[in-house]
Amino acid sequence: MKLRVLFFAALREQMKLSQADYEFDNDATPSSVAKQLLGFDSSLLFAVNDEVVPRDHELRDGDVLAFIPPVAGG
Amino acid sequence: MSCATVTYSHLFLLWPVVNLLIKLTSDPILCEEALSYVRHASCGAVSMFEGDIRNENTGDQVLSLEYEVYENLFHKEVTRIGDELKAKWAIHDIAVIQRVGLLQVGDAGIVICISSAHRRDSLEGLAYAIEEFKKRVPVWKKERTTRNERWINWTPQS
Repeated sequence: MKLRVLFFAALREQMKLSQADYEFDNDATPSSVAKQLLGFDSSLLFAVNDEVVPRDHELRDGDVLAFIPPVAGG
Repeated sequence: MSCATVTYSHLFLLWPVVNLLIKLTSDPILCEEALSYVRHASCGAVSMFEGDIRNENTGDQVLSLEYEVYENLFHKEVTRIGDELKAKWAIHDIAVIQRVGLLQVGDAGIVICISSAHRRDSLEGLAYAIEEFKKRVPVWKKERTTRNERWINWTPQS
């Protein structure tokens, strides 16, 4: 399936891009995608189509997956 | 000027109308904009939080902060916090203005204003809003000091 992946803050700098489209196996999860692209999944939250989801969320073709590093607002 | 503003009005059975202003801007925040949004003839209390850039952090001299936001989720999460505020306290209006981009020492990064008929609702609601905002809303800050630069709360992974 095809996914668009969004990168923010430190992850955007690590990947040197803010978003990109990728092809993954149909059983991919936010956690498995993070491990493939970043090499880790710890300390991250995940959003799919702008809603926070569990790390084992079932992804679908065309989803927009965002990796959310620890926030620091305020 | 670059900004994105969203306003919401919700009808409730018990409370007539609660308005919520959510604004992202790369321009300096004007507190009066948030204050005037929440002021109302029925409100005897307006509480405001302004988060400013300090000149030091953990002993280092801060030069600047770069703010980054996941805009779509920002709006959703702030709206949820607004709904929680309305459920917990008798709040009239809420305004949240978030700065994005490069900020200098002394600049305001965020302003939150809440109005209510009586002070306790807006004061308690404001404290809740700030704590939840810091925990949940997708905002990141890159701090530049005289010693180094780093994304706050982020530990590089391998």
